[in-house]
Amino acid sequence: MNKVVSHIFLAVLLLSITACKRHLNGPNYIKYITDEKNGLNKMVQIGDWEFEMLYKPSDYIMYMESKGDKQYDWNTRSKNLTGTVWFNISFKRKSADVSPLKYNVSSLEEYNMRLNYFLNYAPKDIALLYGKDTIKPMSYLFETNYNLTPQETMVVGFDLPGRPEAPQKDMQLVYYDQVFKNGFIKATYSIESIDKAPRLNK
Amino acid sequence: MNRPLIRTLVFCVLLNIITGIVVYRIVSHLNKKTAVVDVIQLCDQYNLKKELEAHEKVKLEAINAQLDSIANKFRMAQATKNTEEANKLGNAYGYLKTQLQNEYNQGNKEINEQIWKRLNPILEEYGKRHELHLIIGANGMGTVLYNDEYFDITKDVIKYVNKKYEQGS
Repeated sequence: MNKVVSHIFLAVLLLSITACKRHLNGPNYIKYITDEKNGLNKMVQIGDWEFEMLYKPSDYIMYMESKGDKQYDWNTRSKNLTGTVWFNISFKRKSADVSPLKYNVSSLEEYNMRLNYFLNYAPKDIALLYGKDTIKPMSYLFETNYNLTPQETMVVGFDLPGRPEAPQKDMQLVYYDQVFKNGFIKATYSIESIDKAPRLNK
Repeated sequence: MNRPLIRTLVFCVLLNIITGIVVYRIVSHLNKKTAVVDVIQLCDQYNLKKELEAHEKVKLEAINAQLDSIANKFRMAQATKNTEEANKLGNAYGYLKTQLQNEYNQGNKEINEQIWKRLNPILEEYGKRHELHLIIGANGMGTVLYNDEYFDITKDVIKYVNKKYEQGS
């Protein structure tokens, strides 16, 4: 009888250990999320272009927003983010010698047209495949850096059907790059990688 | 154990290790092989190409619809003997037809450039991973006249490049 009880106790203990998510402090958490090996940050190299497609869990977003803000309302923000998923799509030249907005641009008009595309029209070329659903962005922001760095970033958010607390299925982010003629760029995030991600130690 | 005996033993062990490494290098070098990929099949079954073509098709169909509409108006103008209108429409039809052809050619060129920009590094990576000396592209133009299945890795390569494309790594 004692043996049975000890086996059950061991099984419960093992289950509770595996069910509990690992918690990491801020810098280690960011390191984990951005580390390619953990499957949440995908790098796609096409010719001389580098695309980085980062899935940002809500903890990641909140940690970045709260930096240095002691009044940050974690609970309200967490509720706002429920049911949504967010990504960064960054791109740059491999040599990092010129801003993508200026690359091969022959006139100011062409530069403005490119900037205008990224400010206003790029979302129509972005989609998220979530299970069998194809979702268009509900929010989009082009993080213009005024050519201070040779990398540009698009921040894009999607509403998940049913608004679950966390994604329940594999996700595939698709961006159709018509500007630099790189075609479709895809990044798949498996549910295993998403589930395996630690939580932030707030 | 005396010192000379230990020295001889160490020497023998080292010699064995070196011989082992040399033999391993030679054998692994000999195991490297040449493989053949059917380039047409590879391109046709590359998901990126299928998707780019589907996207291009929408654009071409829009121009084609315009072309059909002008052709109908042109026929009507001819039937009603409205020469001036028929001439105008004839010119517009010629212009649009050239535009369609140009769009088609340009689209094909861009698709080819885009898929080879992606395929080249993936094929290089595949070759290194599978320790191949050489990958020959068979394209139906007579570069490879015959190869048996032993050398044909087309199916495996198609699977590999599509996995890379879909996963984004």
